[in-house]
Amino acid sequence: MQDIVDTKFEALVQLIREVKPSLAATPITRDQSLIDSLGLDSLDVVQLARRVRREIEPELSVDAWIQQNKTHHWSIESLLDAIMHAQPV
Amino acid sequence: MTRDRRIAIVTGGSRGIGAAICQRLAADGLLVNIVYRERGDEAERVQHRIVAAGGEAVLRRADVAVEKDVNRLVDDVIRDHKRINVLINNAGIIQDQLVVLTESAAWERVLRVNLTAPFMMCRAVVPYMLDEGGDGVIINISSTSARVPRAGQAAYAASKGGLESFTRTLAAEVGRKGIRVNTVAPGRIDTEMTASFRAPGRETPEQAGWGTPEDIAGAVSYLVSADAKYVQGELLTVAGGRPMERERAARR
Repeated sequence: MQDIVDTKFEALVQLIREVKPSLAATPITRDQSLIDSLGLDSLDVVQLARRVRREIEPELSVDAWIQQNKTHHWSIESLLDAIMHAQPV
Repeated sequence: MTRDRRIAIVTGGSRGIGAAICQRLAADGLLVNIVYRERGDEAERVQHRIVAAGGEAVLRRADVAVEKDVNRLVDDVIRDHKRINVLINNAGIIQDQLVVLTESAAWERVLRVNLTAPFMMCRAVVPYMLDEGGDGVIINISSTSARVPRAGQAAYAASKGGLESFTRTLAAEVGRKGIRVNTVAPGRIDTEMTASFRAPGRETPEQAGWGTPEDIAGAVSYLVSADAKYVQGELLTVAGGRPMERERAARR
């Protein structure tokens, strides 16, 4: 199970760097916030979420994750968790 | 062949400026989705001309003032072509009337078609342009009336002025992602929609130096092309210099 989480995390990091190329050499960890730590803005987040759905987890509920942002503060851990627990609607 | 073509959507593509834009973009090598609301036969003729010239075009019936039509239109294009590279918001209406005689419903209809519809189209299309890594061009068709209106054009001028402001705002939002958003503002163009301005006793197009739909299509072609890759959030007026003429404006 941990291997799967690690694989998804690596894929997620790659997508984050695609969306924001200036992060190419920046270490990215799960406890960081996409917005507060890495400097993504709302358009970046929308673009990232669409890529996650296309390339990692098609069942990810983007709207639900975005609506919970006051709780998770855009943390990478929360997005990874949403990916791992995505279920068909 | 289709696989390599950039995919364009042109609203109001069945006649006038829209038809000329469809034909020009198809001649430039794009696959054009011709969006029309009512005039299917005219849209079909545009499509036939494109195909006869070796281009590709698809007909799409939609009322872009209706949100579910907009979403269905974009869904259909994505289903068939997998991507959207170019959006031309050309559909528009004119319902000129003095302000004191303008009914609220008429005012709202003009703003709905000329301003809200382009907003809804952009909102639906931009996510797919982002999916393409920002390979996107949006052109909103405005009018010189936004800046130099005549009496009776309050709703039309307000809608086009709003569209120009909307264009600049969207360019500020998505420009850094590589999506280019610009406005083309035609002056007096000889089309069916402007025929009433050429009623007997008024100037003929030749006398007044009116432009043709192809003049606008040429400007759109430039803005869509890589030659305009550094042009962002701009307003390109195509009016034969008319806005600079003081003589007519001063006539009483």
